[in-house]
Amino acid sequence: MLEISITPPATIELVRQNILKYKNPLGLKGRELTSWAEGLNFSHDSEYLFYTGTEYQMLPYIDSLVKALKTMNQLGSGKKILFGLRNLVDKFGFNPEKIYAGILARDRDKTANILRKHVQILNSLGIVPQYLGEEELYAGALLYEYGYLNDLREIARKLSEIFKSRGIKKIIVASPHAAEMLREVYPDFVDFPFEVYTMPEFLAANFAKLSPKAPTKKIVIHDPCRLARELDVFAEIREVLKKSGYSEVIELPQSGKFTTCCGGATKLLFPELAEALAKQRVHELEKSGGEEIVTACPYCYFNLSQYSNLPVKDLTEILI
Amino acid sequence: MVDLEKDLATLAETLVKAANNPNINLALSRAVKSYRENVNKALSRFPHTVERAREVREIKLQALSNLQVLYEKAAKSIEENHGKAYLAKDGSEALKIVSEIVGTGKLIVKVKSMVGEEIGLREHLEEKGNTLWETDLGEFIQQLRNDRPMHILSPAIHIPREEVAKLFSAFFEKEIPPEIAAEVAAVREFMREKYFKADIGISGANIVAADTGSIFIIENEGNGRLATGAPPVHIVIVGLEKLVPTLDDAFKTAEVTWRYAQYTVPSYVNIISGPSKTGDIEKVTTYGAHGPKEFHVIFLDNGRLALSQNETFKEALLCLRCGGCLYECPVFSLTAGYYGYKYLGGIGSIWTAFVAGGIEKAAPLAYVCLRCGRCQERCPMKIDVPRMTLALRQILTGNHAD
Repeated sequence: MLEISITPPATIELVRQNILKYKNPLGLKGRELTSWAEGLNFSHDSEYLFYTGTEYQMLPYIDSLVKALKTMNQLGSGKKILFGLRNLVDKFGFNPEKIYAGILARDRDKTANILRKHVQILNSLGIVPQYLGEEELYAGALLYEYGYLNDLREIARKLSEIFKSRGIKKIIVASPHAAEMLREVYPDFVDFPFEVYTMPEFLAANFAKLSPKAPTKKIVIHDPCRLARELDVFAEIREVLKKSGYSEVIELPQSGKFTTCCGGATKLLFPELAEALAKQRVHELEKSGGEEIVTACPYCYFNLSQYSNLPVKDLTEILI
Repeated sequence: MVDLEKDLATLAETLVKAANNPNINLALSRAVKSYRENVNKALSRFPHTVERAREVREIKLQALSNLQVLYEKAAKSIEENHGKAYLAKDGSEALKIVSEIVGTGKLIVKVKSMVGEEIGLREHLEEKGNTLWETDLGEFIQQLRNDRPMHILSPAIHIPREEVAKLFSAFFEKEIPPEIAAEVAAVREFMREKYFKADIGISGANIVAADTGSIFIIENEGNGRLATGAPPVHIVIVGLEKLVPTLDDAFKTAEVTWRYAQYTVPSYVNIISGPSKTGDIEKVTTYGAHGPKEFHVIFLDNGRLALSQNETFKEALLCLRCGGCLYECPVFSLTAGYYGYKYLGGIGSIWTAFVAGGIEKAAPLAYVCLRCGRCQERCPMKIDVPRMTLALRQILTGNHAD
């Protein structure tokens, strides 16, 4: 077997320590993660759980972090960043308030709104799910991506215990990255006796009870990689749209199993490359003739909407 | 100790520079578009290819569990055909064997070979005082540019015709217009006499059939048959993973390879099993007729045997080098071969770790893969690059149970 030892990049170490010490990759806390849910209808004993994995909430902050990384990059040598970030992690944990001072309320509202739509749709299907609130943990997808399997195992164990203690049987997951962890990865590590649904799957299965808005624009679909390839979910999005009255949905050759990555996955490690990847995908989508891009993943949603001239919508947003 | 922070920063700079290079952008967007059109056309004209690819995956998986035996069988067949077979355990041993056959002061014509790239063959032979011409058009362009291949099948994929014209005009010392046909004609004229003056032709191989000792070279330009047919000596350097048990297996593997390489039907499939011979006078077999008198096949291990025993990563050896994954890789389509060391793209990181370069070279590359999985959709062997990329990252972090 190959042997090597590495000093990991500061960005990875930062994200890892935040996940281990706090509850999510950016060290966000309290209302930053939970305020979206205020005033919504949840239950304490439903067999259904709505699980956000804190991903939609953190996306607006990721952009700010990336911007901060970029600025620091322009200011000086790589070593400065290394030193700066290491210090942040070692001495203060991570201080979102300072780095994220520039975060736009508008961006936070956008993702909060998407999560609210998820819950409102579930309510309209007659489901009042549980929400873990401040107890919720990030599912660990980035740890998995970066190669920290033991750390991920620990999170899987904790989450599984929380789910069990709350009597949960069915989990509706907002982000495909979290859904991949729960459905494809956790069962290798821990006893995980839960049914896991992505939102498009749940919507397709329960469409009869839904009364969606009438179509307004010509839609082009951006299939998220994890959803289409790992989880094999792409027909469901089309089914939901078709039943909602979208008779004409534009299909790119690069859709479904051949969809193009939005670049979001590599945003923290290679921000400039991620930007080029997003622009490449936006170009494909914009020349499709569609008037609106629909997707179902927080990373795709954010990475694409930053560079797109067309509006980018989450699947839940165009339904209600 | 690898400082991944530093290595990633350097790599990021290279990748971003490539992504911002308008030549790469222009050439790659043309290439990706035409690849997709061609391969879709090829697969709809010959739809059995998809099922055949599944069959070839099984053939190759079987072969991988049996490489040493297949090598011995192939070597025996080649010797029976009056060729010579060698097993080189690493790159330097392969170069030593080639050097002993070639010597110095020779004129060599070479056919494109990734194994040649892996061991630094051209540079080595030039250092030993030989003159070597790359006869593949793309590789010739890269030779003139003193640069490495930017795609395994189309080494100069990132150079648009306008740039080629500038390069050729300077080299041939006459005006070559930025028209592809004129560029091709100029190289044809230059290369023609080289084939017949050359002392040695060197090639790789796409497939080797162990039972007959036959090597397959799939090509379109015709340089393969000239460079391996005209000179008096033909040397083949081929990775051990190209071995399949029978001639029948080899034909199947060949068809899948060329189809996913977007050659619906290639102009040429060269099948070579030994030196040229004739028995026309008194039925006495005499070696060295119109083709080469000597036929040398050097099998290269360089980590392949060990990799074939590695349950987690052996799948990487199924790679047919059709190049399909590279056209589907979103990073590659922005950066070309700057995403890679000798072998390119996501699959290239695995090859870098185990075969060409080593784990330290592979470390930063392993973090570039988006794990988006589109390469696997295209791959005729369905090689699970995203899974192996994760396994490689786990080796790097050491944060895994076993």
